[in-house]
Amino acid sequence: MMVFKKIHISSILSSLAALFAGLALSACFDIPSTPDESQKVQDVSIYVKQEGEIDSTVLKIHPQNSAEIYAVVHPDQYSENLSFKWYRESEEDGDILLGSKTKYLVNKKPAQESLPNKLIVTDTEGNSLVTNFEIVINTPPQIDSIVSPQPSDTLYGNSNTSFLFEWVSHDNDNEYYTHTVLIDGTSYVVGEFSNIRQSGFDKGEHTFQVVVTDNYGDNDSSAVITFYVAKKRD
Amino acid sequence: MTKSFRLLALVIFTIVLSVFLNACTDSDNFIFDEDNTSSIAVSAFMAKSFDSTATKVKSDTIIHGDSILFIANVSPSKSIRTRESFWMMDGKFYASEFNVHDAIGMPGSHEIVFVLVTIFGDTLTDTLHLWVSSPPILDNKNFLPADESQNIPPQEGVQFAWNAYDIDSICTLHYHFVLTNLLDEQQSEPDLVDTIISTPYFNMNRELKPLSQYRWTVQAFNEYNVASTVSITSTFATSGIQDEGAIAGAIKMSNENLYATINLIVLDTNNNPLNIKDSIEKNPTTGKFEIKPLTPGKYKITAHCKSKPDYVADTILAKVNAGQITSIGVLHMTDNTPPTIKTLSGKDTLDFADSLQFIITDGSAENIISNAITYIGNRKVTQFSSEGKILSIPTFETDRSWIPQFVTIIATDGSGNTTTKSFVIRPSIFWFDTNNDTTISRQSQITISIHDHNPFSFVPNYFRINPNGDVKGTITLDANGKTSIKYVLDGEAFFRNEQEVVTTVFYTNGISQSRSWTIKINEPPFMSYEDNCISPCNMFASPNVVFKWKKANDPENDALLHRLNIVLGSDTISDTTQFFYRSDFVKSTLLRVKDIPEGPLFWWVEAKDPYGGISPVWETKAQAIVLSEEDYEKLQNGEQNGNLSLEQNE
Repeated sequence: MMVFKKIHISSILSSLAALFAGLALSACFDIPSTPDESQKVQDVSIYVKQEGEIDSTVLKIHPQNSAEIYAVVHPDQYSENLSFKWYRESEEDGDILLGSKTKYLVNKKPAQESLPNKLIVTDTEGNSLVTNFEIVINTPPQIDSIVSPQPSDTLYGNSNTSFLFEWVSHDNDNEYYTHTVLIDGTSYVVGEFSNIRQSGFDKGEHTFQVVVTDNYGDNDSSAVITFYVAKKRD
Repeated sequence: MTKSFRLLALVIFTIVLSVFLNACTDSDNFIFDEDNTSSIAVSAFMAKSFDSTATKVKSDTIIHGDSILFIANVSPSKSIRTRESFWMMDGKFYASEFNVHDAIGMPGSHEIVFVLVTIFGDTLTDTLHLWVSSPPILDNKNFLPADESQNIPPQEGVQFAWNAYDIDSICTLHYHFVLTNLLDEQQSEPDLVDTIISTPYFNMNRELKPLSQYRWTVQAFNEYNVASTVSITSTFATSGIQDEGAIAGAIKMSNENLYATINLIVLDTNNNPLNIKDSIEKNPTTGKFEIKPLTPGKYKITAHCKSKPDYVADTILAKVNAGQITSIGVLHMTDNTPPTIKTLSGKDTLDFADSLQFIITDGSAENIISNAITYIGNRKVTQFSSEGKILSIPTFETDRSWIPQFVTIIATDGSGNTTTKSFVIRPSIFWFDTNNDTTISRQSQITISIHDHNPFSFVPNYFRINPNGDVKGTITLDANGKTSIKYVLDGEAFFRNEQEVVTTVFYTNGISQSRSWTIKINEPPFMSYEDNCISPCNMFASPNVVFKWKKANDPENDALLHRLNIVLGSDTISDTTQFFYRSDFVKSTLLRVKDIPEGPLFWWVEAKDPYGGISPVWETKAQAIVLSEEDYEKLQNGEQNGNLSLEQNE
């Protein structure tokens, strides 16, 4: 019994020693983690492509042309085997699924409600990434007409005579838009003015052009008007 | 016991000794006392120069490339024991000197820290903030509307636009825009617009005055408030009603205070002045003016300064176009007329006196005398007085001399025109006597005397009387050993009524001395039958006749006396003429003469002035035919008119 007891104690001690040793040794090894099933796609960028022009900043489309909305994921090696769901999110109706393809095609003259503003990208492991965005339907401003001077007009005066330059423009979106006047190649930003006066013209041929630009950088240019200045007849 | 006692005594002695020794030490002085310490402090500043008056700041904005001085102050002194000190800029080591003068090349915001580590390892710092920015670039050549634009409709508003950008593209710009009426900026349109805007354009949507000139200025500033090195300063003019035009310009003269007194004159092409006073607007402060409205055409513009006539204006031809303001630029009014200096008598030679007086006048300066410089001989006159245009210079005894002295006066007007004029003061120490100032009748004579009494035994050689050429020739009289002479001149010899006579003594040793005196010639009175006869003038008269005449005419309006002359029979006058009656010279202009015999008589009156001048005998004498009392009474009753002329009764 005593022997058994001794053996038992020693074995216990040896076992404890082995256990401690094992623990000590085990601390020296890097035990591998469980298999990784976390998110691989880190970021999603939304792009708009219209008439060959790609935009990822303002995300504006012109209603007169069709366009496509698509997403680019990062890192791009994980772009395979992803599912895309384009939603229209609103407070009243919640999320309405508009499309499930990589690209979302926009027809001409789209309604704002028909455009997605939310994309959920899901990988094969079920990880998903939600990206909210807003597509702007922007109509470029337009120069309707040049009121004065008309092409080939002859303006009479001297070098101090100020001549009127007047135009008509509009923007269907009722946005703020600004004009840039080019007189003989020198440009002047004149804001929302629809007319200016300028003097200091030598007699002879001169040019005039107006460019209108809205907040989204869309613009319209008038034709270059050529006019003539002649000395005023006394 | 004894041993114990000794031991005890030794202990007590030791304790007492230790107490004494302790009392002799100054260890208390080495105990740390907080009150005796001085703290170390550092401060840092920036300045543009080492000048003690330069402004020291903790934060500043400088233009890219400008140098600035970083100054470190250490209290109590920079000579305290420190471990190290240095400057850091934006977290990096910058310099190790206390004062650093450097040009900061990197634009943007910078944090400059002065660091001082004390001997005990304490770190003390002070921080400066510096913004380095390049000035915005403002295009001051191309803008809307261009400089000197005309025909701007006043009622439609005016659009201004310009171009500017900042080298540091991150900086947004703002603009200081000011619009003023060029002529009326202090009056009805003060500071039309003075604003800060963020756009390179401005719409003036307020109605402006027609045919008026306006000036607008723009300067660009970036976020650090660094201003553009150039600014736009441009003018434009609004159009008038229909074809009306205007002329604008500015008067320029050395005395700007006179702008208010200038009269602008507008002439047509035929040099006829136009009466358009109400059309002239003038700024009395700046001298700028506008003449409006004017019909298109050519005009001549000049100006006149009534209060300062020395200022003479240019005459500028201007062509006025329809709806435009023609700028004629500067209408110069220049004063090229120097002051005038003269004596009260108008002569350049004057007698010595206690106070010499001169008249200094100028057509442009108000108080020209205060700036006048005067010399008597070589002595600069420092004390003088003035009253109006008269400069009074007191003379000293030392100014007296037996030779002529010069008085030189230098007067400069406000336009810088200078007149230097010298006058001669006659000798004030005289060696001879001569006539004093006097008045004689032209019909009388004057005896000019010269009496020499020189104290030096000079011998007179000859005497000269020089009435300045106004008498027929200069009179030279040999002395012939005499010291006195007398010379008689007729009053008729003097051409003018007042003139200077110079008498001179020439001595045999070559020295001469002159004195001058003034002679006034009084003209005699004048009478004639035609002008002065009142009664009887070619009439019948009774034996008792009252003779009446008008007072004689006298050029000097002297007090006159009159003498009645009556002759009988003939009007021929000669030295042997027998006067029936001749009165004394009396003040009256009528006299009664009784018992005149019947028959014709002739009478006239002579007038006499205080200087002995007597009017000549009437060329035509007054005639009367004395009748007897009875005949005269019949004539009076029968004809009922006693004033019948002889011609009527013949």
